[in-house]
Amino acid sequence: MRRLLTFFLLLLLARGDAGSFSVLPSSTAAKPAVIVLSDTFTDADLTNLTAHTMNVGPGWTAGAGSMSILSNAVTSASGGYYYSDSGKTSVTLTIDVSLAVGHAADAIVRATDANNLWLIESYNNTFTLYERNGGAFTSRASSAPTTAGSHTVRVITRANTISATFDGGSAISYESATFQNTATKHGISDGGTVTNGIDNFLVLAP
Amino acid sequence: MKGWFISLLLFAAPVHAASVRARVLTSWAGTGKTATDAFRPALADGYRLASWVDTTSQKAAGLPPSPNLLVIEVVCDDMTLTDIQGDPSYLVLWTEQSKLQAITAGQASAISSYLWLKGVPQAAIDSALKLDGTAQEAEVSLANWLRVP
Repeated sequence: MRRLLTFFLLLLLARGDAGSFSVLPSSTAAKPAVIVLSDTFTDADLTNLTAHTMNVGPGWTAGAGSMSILSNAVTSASGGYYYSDSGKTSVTLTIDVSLAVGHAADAIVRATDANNLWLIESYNNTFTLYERNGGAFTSRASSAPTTAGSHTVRVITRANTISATFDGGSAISYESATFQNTATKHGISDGGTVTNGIDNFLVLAP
Repeated sequence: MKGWFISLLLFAAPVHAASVRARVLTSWAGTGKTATDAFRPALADGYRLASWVDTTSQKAAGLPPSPNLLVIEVVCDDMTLTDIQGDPSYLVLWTEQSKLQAITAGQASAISSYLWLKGVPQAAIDSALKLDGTAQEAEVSLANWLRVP
């Protein structure tokens, strides 16, 4: 009988999640981030993103314009706003951008449509956070890195704060991002000037 | 010989302008119709800033507001800040060095005069702004007032 009681006690201790009568606290270790959207844009040239299967995610929605694949990266002749629903509003988004002088590439977070979203744009030696609200653009924060060349853009959304870095520096952070703060679609955009300019789209949720 | 060598090192060393942080009163520029003509602080058009952020956070639907003003936090080199301080289009409300210092009569007068020239009635200035505390308190009261539609 004593052995049986000891066995059940050890079982309870080992589980640690034994409902309302747990004798051990649940693990306090941070949960690893989960990939909610991912795309390396590996597909045939000129495949529109709407016809392309993401590595992870429900697929691309064309909010406006046209974006397609060329040499396993995103290209756009006329510009576009494309996003995918992650189901999460607090995310860490990463894209690689490759830009010539005068070319722009953008990360999109918290979109509901092409007229209502947040843009983080790399363009002409500026790195700018735009609120696009009802179609109107408002700059909320900006820094001044050298944008030509290949770079990594990272955007973090948490509650009412949107922060972004360009190659890990040139940080911008806006702490009053109440607009669209429950929207869960995130994506990419450009002004029609980018060729093979966006790659390795990754969205993690904590 | 040693002194000469040290002098040579000092002469050859690159001169780095110090980076400073400040809050500045500016107006909105742009129409908002495109990203390249977005609503943006006029100060960002006129000066080379390392970074800036809107600390007023007026609602986008009401831009440009009346009076057409917002407070932004800028990071720039000290020479640029000196140029901005000398430009009557803008008003530096505080720097890292001055933000916790009591506001002087001259600074309070400068804020009132700037706002009056932008069309803000004296009664609104007197009722809305805290001009008898620190420079930071004056800036916060001004930003709060500008945020209200």
